[in-house]
Amino acid sequence: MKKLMLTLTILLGLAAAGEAKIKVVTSLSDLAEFTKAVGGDKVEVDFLVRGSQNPHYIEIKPSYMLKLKSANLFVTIGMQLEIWAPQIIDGSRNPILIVVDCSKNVKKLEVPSVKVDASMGDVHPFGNPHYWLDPENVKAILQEILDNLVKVSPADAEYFKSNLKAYMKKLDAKMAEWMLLMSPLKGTKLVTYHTSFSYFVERFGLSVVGYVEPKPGIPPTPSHSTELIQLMRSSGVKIVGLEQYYEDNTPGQIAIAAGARLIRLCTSVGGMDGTGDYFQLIDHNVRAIVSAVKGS
Amino acid sequence: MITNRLKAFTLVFVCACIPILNAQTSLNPEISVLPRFRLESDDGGQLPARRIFSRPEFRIEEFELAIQSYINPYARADVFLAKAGAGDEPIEIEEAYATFLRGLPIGLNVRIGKYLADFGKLNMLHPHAWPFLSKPLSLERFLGEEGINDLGISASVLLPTGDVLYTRLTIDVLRGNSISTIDPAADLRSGGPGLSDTLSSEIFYANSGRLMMFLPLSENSDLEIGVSGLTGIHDPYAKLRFYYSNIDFKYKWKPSAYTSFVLQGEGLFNSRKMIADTDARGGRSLQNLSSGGFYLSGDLQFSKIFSIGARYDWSQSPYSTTDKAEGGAVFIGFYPVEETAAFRLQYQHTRWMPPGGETRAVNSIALQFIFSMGPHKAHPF
Ligand SMILES: [Zn+2]
Repeated sequence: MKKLMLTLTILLGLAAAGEAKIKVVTSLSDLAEFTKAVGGDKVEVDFLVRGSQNPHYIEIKPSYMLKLKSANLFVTIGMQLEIWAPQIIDGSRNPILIVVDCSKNVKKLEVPSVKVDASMGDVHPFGNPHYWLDPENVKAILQEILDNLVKVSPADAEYFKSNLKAYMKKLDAKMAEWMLLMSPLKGTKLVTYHTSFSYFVERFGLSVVGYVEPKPGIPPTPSHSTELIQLMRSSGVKIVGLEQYYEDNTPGQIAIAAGARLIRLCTSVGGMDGTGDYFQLIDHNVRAIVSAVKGS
Repeated sequence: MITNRLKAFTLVFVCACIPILNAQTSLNPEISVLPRFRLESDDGGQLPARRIFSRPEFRIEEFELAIQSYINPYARADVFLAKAGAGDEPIEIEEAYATFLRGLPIGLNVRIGKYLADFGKLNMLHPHAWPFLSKPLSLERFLGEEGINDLGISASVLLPTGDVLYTRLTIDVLRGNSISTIDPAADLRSGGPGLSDTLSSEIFYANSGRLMMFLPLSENSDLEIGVSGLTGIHDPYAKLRFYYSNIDFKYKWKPSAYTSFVLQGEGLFNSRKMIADTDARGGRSLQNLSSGGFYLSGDLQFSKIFSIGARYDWSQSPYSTTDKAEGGAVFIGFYPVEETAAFRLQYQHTRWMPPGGETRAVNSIALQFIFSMGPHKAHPF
């Protein structure tokens, strides 16, 4: 009997060692890359929103609940970008799931100073959540992911830390490259569809002077478009940056009327061809803006 | 001195208030208001030669108030109040239930209260979430105007069917008074649905259940299939039982943010014992009756603000195989600013074919306006 128990214990122990990977599900593809970077081969990562999808509007699908059902961590952007997440978390029926909010230590932009209501459109009530597009903010995200991976597997803390350092090093090197490319463009004005690039332009010294949306989440109107065209002409805006998931008809018309160039910018890894990882994603956006400025 | 004291007081007051204010805002339930207005005209089933549409009537179809919140770390509560019309119609508790989401073994979820049972695809959905403006004939005739909406307790579990196929089993015990009926003949006479109320104070519990499976077919398409059952007493005096079984499916293809196609349908099969004959001494002979109905609906969203769709209905009656009804509807949806305001236009043709009687065909045109106040709700599949 004792022997049997011993064998069983060993077998169970082996089985546990075999499946020791930490299961992580992230909301965005970008977060999946960051988690993989820190977790290395100790984690198994999946994500819910494809790069080509608008992360503000995601259907509550049972298949998402199933993904979260056996996960240890659910890594999110937070700041109510994922307003659809609570229903998926509840539906997952996962009692051990840890929900990670990566915005915890990020310096937040556009935090409303007045009470938000629907007349303002879909204003993000806790500030602009599109912070992952500033490469410097990725450091705070990586740290948050690291802290939570350590919570699940304290024994791997050193491994995670060295992974994080390696990724940060690569990020710093790329950052220097991007800064160099963007420095001649300081002060360049552009228009985007949604407030997706507030953190990105802040980092690189550009400025977004207007949006195709009259208010966050509200479809373009003719009167707003007319005003925007006038604003673009008077302040010399030569670029309309359009997120990958919006239709290009109205932004295209605005660009033509204002004598500007329409470029596709990308908000998430895998959202467009040639944005297979985060470095390529930022590369794409930097190059698109640089060549648009050169071309005009 | 006084100012200092006042300052100190103000400070204490302010400090004491801040947590209360914070607590207040976070403990307030989410409140949403969803009124549906309707402008409608029909030809009252006139003969084709005399077909004249009535003067359009503008009315409040229903006014719905939703109050939703977590009540503790384990459970949430949902209350829906509804009122039809702008007159002295009563305010009804459409649904009021608590759902225990966490803390139970094997990931069990338990729902207690008054609610729309998980039976088929449409029964649980409120009308503002339907793609069309009217209830399919089969649901109206077999489940009644209110649907399976009853006091009860429900338990659901996710079955271990792998990482791709989502399978959920729900079992309900319902008080049953919303699905019992006293006099089947009354239903036939009124021509309307008969499963609405009971005159008996005795309780005849009903049981329902649904096995739901959700399968992603590709990146852009998903399929949901459900099998449901319902049984209860339909004749409290003779204690006669009915059995419903139902198959539902929903296929959705969504290649881009503003393009999607949905095909969905349900087929319901009814089997019940009925009194065939009563002899002079009160002896009864029983008969078995089997009937059914189905609908099939397609809905295409082709731009950010427009959708079109069509539906076909066919249904027998719960009490007769020869009492048939058939219909079709076409509908257009216009959503100028997301789902916060919607206009929907529907043309419907319905043919009632009572046994031995004359077929009556009704055409109707309805324009619906819906707006929603309150927390932006993400859309379930
Ligand atoms: Zn946003």
